[in-house]
Amino acid sequence: MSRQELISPEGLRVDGRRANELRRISCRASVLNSADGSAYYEQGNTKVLVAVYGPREPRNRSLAQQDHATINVEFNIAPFSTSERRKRSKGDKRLLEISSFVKQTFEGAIQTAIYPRSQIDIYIHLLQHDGGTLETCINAATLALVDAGISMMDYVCACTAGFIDETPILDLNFVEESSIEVPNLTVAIMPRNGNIALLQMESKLHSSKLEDVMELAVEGCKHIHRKLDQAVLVAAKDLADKLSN
Amino acid sequence: MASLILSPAEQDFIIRGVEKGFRGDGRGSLDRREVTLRTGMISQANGSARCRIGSLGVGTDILVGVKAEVNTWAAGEPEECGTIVCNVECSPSAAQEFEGRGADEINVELTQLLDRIVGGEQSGLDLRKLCIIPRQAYWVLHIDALVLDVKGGVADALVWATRAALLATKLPRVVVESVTDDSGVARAEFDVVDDAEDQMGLEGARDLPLAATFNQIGRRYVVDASEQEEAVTQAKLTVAVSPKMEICAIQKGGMLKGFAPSLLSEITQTALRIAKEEFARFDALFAEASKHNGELDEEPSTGSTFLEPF
Amino acid sequence: MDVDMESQDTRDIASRIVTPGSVITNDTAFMRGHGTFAERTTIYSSVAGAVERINKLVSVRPLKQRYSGEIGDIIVGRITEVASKRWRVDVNSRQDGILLLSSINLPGGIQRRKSESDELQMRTFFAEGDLVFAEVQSYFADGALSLHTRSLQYGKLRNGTFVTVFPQLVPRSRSHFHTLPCGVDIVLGVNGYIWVSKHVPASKVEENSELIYSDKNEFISDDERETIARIANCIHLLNRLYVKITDTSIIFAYEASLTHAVKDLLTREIAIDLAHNVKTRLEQQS
Repeated sequence: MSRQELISPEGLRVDGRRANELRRISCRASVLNSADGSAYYEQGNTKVLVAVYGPREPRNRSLAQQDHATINVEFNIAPFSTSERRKRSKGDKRLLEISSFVKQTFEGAIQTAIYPRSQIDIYIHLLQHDGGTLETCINAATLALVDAGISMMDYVCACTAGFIDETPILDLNFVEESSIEVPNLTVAIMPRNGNIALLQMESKLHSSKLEDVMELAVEGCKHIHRKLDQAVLVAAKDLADKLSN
Repeated sequence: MASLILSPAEQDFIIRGVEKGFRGDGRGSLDRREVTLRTGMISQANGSARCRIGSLGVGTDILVGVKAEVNTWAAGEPEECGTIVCNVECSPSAAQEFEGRGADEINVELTQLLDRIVGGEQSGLDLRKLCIIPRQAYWVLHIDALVLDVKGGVADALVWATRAALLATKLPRVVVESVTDDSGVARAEFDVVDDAEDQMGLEGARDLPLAATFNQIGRRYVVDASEQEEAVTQAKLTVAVSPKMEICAIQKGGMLKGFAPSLLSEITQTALRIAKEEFARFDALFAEASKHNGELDEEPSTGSTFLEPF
Repeated sequence: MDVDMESQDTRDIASRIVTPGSVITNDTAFMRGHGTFAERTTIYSSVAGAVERINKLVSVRPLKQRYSGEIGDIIVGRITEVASKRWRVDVNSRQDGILLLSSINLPGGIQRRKSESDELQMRTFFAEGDLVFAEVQSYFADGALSLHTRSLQYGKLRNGTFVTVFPQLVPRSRSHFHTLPCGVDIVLGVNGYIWVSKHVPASKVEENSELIYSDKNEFISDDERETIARIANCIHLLNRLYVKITDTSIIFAYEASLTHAVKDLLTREIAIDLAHNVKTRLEQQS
């Protein structure tokens, strides 16, 4: 798709959004009743389901760490999630890479030192893929971890941003992400102090543009933080009400 | 299956209870737990459904997505039919031992089970209607199931979810034209109509079977075993029955003992007897699920596209 | 600080629902407890829950969490492994608990012989899958709970069925073993593991102390089975509807459930109705 088609002369993107518009977010905690924590998260047409277990006895005791919890992430892309059906093997590089990014991101946010010799498992399922895989996985996992009552210093909120021509755009969908002419990056922040938990870029971006794009992405993260916090409060108030008697 | 270890005292309690007609949760031997069904949650797939069988929101939980793709015919393949390919994957959220490659064995077992029941003509689907141009192009239906939780009765939930997903599946219309090239040779060409309003359901989907699994516990058998009942099961039999009251498939599971042949015929007769009720129940749930389909979500909650937490 | 300002603080701080990263207080007079962390002079929440304040200690209790044990807790656990002179026990916590051979009750007259440390002998007491009723004695250096079953009321659980609930629904109390009016015994483990069984008089247990490690059940009548199933279902529905689980709430649920068949207690509408009924009665009581 050529540049011109990705953004119309009126400034509308292929899905009708403006450059700095986030896709519609819809999310809910406590959706899988056997898990310690869980979340279902939709950002536009991308849909992610996360189950969190733990802290619990590690499956492989020899891998347990004396003074902190180990975080284990398993990420799966459902074969029906992409427009072309595709089944990936468990050793697929892309899956392992995303698992690894998610693990690293949360190692900085979860207070692992208060759960020594135990394991926190994060199982992520991408059910529908329309761009922003890493960003939605992180957002959904945050919600699930909070749902499980696991101590964290802050939420971790992620967002993508890129450039079409000279215009910074927020929250890329699949079409925009796949276009080689659109440089894009994924940023995850911990909103309280704005510290960057993750930064990943997959294409060439001129350094002069980096600041603009980062700024936009961080704004997106803050908005997402409000959405996640809302979902957490809804679930928390629900339980608190039930328990108050 | 995911291992739940019970103490000898618990096992004895369950087995004697079943033999006397008392199941742990008070159900009768042929009673199924609460079933919740939702469809259409994966809008990008041609069809999707989620089925949960259990009590009060805790139970076996399976999500099925159906994707249809056009395949080019190759020599050796059926000339005037489409095909169905099944694939079942268990998530580690169902059991810790399903992490990494831990679920390989059970994935194969469940895939074969599903394939046996819906993987061909025996499913009731009209495979001929899935042919686009004989010896040239046909539809492949990929049925991908994701097992999110296992609390007994996996085979049944798998088949119920698959039936719902296939009934909810819409295929785009295909236009086939005869095109004559310069040398006067006529060839058939097809075009897939890209119009969300112009889609059709699967021919024969109404004939898809449902499955009931019978677990032998002690000297009796029960339908829809709970997680604890699975742990004391000696042998089990999954029977798939079509709406026309035909037995479509039978699969025996469980390693410990064999079935007495007389028990086999008793079970298949029972499967036929309860089939009418099962189909009525499914139809009511499916109709309810279809009502929720396409509902717009107003606020943060997406309860309509995914089952409620309760 | 005068009295007025102190009560102002209480109103401001306690019972608020907070989420990870929220500021609880900047007041340096407070100390931080569970579910919080401090950066410089500010105390933040690390979980989603209600703020609690006991004197100068501020903590946040998450609304959902795995069980974390305290000394003196009465729990139910499942043996997962038989090791040398000890058993590993699943206690629904972040680590398995440990039951040492030296912490169990040996029936009268049996001397501790060296051969008892053989794994084969160990299994005559507890084997994998057995459920134990135990008390938390202490912690190991790595934080794992050390359990004991050194009094006759504790030990191997028989004659019934196992139910799992959210640990935060089982309040700590003086007694965790109850005989209900309907003739069923329940053990409410603070860790969310519950045992529902046929009533066996305490005297019978004392008389036959050598049977405390038996795997055999007593004879259980049809009526007893039905009552056990009814109580188990009541506990399930109290759990799913997030009602505190105590002998009182279970009895209320049982009484309200009698107009329904046992199996119907686990259907959505009836469960919601019964839980509502129980909550009303609990409110009236207090």
